[in-house]
Amino acid sequence: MHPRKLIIHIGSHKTGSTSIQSALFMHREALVESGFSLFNHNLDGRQLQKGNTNCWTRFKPGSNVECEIRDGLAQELRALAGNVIISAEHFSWVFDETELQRFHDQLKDDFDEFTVIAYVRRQDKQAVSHYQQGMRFNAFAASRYYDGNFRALPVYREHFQLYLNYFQKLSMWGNVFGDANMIVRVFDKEFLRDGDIVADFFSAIGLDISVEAQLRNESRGFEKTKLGHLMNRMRVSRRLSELLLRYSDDSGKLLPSRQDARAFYEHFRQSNRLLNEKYAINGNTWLFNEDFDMYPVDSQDTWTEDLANRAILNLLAGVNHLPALHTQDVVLLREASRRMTFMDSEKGVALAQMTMRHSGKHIEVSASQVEAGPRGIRAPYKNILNWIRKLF
Amino acid sequence: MDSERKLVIHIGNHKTATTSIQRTLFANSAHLRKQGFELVSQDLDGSLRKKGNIHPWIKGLRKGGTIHADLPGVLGRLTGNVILSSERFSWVFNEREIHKFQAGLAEHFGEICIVSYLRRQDQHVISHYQQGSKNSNFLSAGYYAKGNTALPPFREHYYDYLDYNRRIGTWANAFGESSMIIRLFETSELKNGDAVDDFFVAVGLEILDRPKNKNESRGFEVTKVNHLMNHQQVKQSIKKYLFKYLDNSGKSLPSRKEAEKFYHYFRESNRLLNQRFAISKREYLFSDDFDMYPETPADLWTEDSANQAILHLLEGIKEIPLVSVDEIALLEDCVRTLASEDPKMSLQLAELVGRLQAK
Repeated sequence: MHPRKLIIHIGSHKTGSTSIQSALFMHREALVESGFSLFNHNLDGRQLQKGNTNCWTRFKPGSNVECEIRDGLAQELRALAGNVIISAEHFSWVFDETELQRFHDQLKDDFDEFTVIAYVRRQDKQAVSHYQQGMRFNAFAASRYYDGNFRALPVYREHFQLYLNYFQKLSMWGNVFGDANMIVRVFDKEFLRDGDIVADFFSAIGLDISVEAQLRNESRGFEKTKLGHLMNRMRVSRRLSELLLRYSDDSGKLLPSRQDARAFYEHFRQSNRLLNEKYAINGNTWLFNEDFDMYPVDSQDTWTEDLANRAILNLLAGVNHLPALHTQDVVLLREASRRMTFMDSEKGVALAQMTMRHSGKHIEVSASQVEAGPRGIRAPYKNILNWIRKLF
Repeated sequence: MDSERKLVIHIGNHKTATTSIQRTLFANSAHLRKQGFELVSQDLDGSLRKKGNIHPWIKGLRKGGTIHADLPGVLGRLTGNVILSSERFSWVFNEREIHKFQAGLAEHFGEICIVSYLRRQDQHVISHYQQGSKNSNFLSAGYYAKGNTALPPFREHYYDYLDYNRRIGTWANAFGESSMIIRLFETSELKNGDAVDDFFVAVGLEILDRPKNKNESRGFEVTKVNHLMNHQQVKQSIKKYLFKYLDNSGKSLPSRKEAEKFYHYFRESNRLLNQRFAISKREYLFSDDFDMYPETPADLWTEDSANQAILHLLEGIKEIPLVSVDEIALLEDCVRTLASEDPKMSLQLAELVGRLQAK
């Protein structure tokens, strides 16, 4: 009998995880032919139409960013036949070794071999990209993790070591699953097989599945990114932020200065050396290419007069197109609600309430009053009409 | 012509405490009557305006103001001396228009006095341009070049308003130099440092009641965002939400150099006006002090001020009640219910639903 193997892809975020997961899902039949099942169930057992199983991690109670692994995951993985592969970049939010040990202990009797594969990106690039992703909508942990300013690079804080000190974080996985079972790859074209993350991934885990390169560029422009951060700060709802951002400019790039990027990177440089020493990832002493020429000398992440004006104008264009009622609409609804009274009193009341809500006034009519029919609602309905009359 | 009757016309300028003067005129209208002066505060239809200005009588503002042809006759039918005020007269640039007005008035009044307050052009424009930010319907919003810095970029047509020698000279040409009372809107030049006190002394009238002045100047963030709201024609019903959290502190100011440069366009005209009317001992009429301005511009966004403004806007935007999917479904229901009984209203509602869904 062949030893049973589990491959766990743990991210990091912003290292082509979505491309890897799409390829895994697209080639799930080929995986089966190679003896691997892709785990892509959601919590209620249904198959997801993607290869991402982030739903099996959750933020620890009281923590906005640190994840724990859901109890049922090990059981679900054990239940699959043969070798199994799972991908969830949210594993990168697990900062507690005992949590990993618990997970491992639940799996060790059913799997004979483990492979943990992680891609790492130079910390300045990782933070710029991850923080930018955090602008998408306020559910993103990255927004909370890096929160602090609205620029390209967050201001360094000690807790960034939890995620970005790769030596510390990946050593936890190595301690639990075995250092020999760790595959650590550098997310940089220079080091990727054929310069492609998906080809590199399949090659790294030893699966001979040929895939076409699929590069997805999900980066956002200057204005959209900055507005997104500000919307997150204000806890703007997803619906509203999507409506407003439709009119925002998506060109340009939010970039820190070369000096700031290098200073940020310095916080992690030694840990990168230790990581490379431990896992012999490549021939670079400091693991990553130390070229910072992609950054401008002066930062390009602050508002200028013109950029701020354009952003506010675009925001106001979004406001003009919000599905809101204007004065003349409220007048129309007021008349319509009166008219409706005589035809369908329940709808008349509902329309009157809607009118008042959009006029900044509110009156409660209980469900029982409405259900009581025309006689039952006569008194409150009169109140409503009186309110409406007073509006104008 | 009744050679005994006197008419006082206060023609502005804008941003020289005209509202305070008009409020004081209105509050003292009974006392003015006792002194033989009738304050004109009637509307075009004869109804009483509860204000001390006659703005509706000056029209066609964006192309240059015109004075309603009936105004001289209306003033003539009043008894005794008459006093009226409207800074909208400052938008009248056409000499023929002013001559026509003078000719109409000369039939009824023996003595006409034109009172005008002038403010140094850089200070005037900063204040006037800021006022334009409050409402896109204000003429000042369309008169000055679009933008949201403290001083608009210079345009040739500003001479129509700001070349005081030419504009005030036009009134003098029509009414006579001796009819002109030209005062400088500078604290050191005003009676008690106050424009209202100064005005009533200048026209020789007493007041009993002095309504409180309203300081209507706006802060940096409100002014800059307001200009942008006007540019995007944000509806008034939405503006009330957006304004709620905007910061009204600080001042939007150009640099000293920018202010001096702007003023320079009009300096010579000020000298000529002073030469003609001997208003001030200073050759160039106004004080040449620009120390109230900072060395570097204080009217541009910084990273922090732009972030704050956007955060404040977002706070207001969140309070705009949006029409929900359920409410649209309710409207669609009503469209169907009303279709047979009231097809016109049903159609109007259907159009509204279409508009909301398109958004």
